[in-house]
Amino acid sequence: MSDESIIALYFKRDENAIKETDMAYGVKLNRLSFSIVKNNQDSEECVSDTYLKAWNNIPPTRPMYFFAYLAKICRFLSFDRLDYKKAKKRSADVVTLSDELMNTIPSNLTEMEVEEEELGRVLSDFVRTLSEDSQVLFVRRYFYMDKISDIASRYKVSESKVKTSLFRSRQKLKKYLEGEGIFI
Amino acid sequence: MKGKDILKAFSHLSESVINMADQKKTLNSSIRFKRYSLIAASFLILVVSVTFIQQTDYRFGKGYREDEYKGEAKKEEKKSEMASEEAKEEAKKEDKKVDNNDVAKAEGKKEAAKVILKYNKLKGVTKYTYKIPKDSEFKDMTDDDFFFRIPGLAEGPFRSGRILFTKTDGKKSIYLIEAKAEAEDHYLNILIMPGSVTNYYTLEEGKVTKSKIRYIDIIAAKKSLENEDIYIADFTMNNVGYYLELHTKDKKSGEELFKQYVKNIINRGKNNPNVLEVDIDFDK
Repeated sequence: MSDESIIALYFKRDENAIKETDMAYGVKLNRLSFSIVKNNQDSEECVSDTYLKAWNNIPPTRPMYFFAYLAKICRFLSFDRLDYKKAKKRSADVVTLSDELMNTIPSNLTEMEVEEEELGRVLSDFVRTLSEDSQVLFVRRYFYMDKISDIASRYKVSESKVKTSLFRSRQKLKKYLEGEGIFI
Repeated sequence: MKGKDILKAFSHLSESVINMADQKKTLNSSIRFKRYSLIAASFLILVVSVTFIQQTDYRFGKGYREDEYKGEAKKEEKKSEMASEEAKEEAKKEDKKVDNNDVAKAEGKKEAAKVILKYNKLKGVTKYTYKIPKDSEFKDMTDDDFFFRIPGLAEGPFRSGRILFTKTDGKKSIYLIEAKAEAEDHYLNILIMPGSVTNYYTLEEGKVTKSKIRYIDIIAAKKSLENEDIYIADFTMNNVGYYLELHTKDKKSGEELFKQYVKNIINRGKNNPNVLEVDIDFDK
């Protein structure tokens, strides 16, 4: 079923909308959530909560990119769940990715607290400055939290190429954050 | 601010960017690389072809039937030689000097005959056929035969097949293999023959297109019937002709399945994966 048809079901308040959404994107959302929470039960609950949130928001919201819309919600919820668990057993992937990104933070910003939404806006602007290929690799790694080997096989390129591209993007991000006035 | 803050903030990325990363299956740099490779390969083929034509007086259309063609051409040559001899004899009989132009005209006929012959030959190839030699004997294929002859099917669904033998100078050599792989919702017919057979294909309905996988020419076609789809591929690899015909009831993933079969056959089994992706362009 196409995205438009599924969204139409939401607008009709037809409960099949949830079922169709799950059939179309359940696996991908579960994978995304699992990469953050590293627990099957938690990821399933996050995906269910994603559907509930989508059900409550559509209508009036009419997402232009349905999967991207769901993925964002799912990612928010998964991180919330991770925080809820006090991060004592934070997943190894999240730690690895956080460490990678830690090096991109300019020294004058390490002690600052920046609003997540504001940071998100800056990131969005930054991603648009990258080439299309770099954008794709960067978003696959840090939004979808794909492993480097998975990205390499998905795009049929070598892992070293992916690593190099990500490294350069992180360097650019560091410079971008330095040059960007981030207001608390 | 910590690394995790940035990681979390990625959730605020714009949906268009997220969507693009989800939808994009190939990097632009890969496409460019493929395009340049294709141009380079085409150029190389062009250079090789021109060199070949220059060195061997090869003419388009002769192809793998060169020997047969040569036989026909010799007959024509003899005919025209006889014609020129006759012209000379007549000139002698009539006590005339032999005009060199008459001989040239007769030889001109020979050239014309050649061209027509080639054209007719090409037009005549419309059906997929093979001849089984009279002294052939059949042998059911064992697991070992499958492993050595079609390793791409070694771990596939239930399969059966037979090998036809012919005697050549007292020695046995494989002439032709007919095999079949069957599953619940599909079956695959395979013919494996020595020598190039790519021109011996036919498709009664639908169109046929040509695609390239590495150095293998594949003629592929798809035929949709009410209850099943039929996928056909005909290609030559290492001077062996392969004809694959998949009948499947699965209208959704039939094409993928077929590509997988073709890929397996080309890779000659899982242990030697040379071709990672099979891209067959079916003209639907």
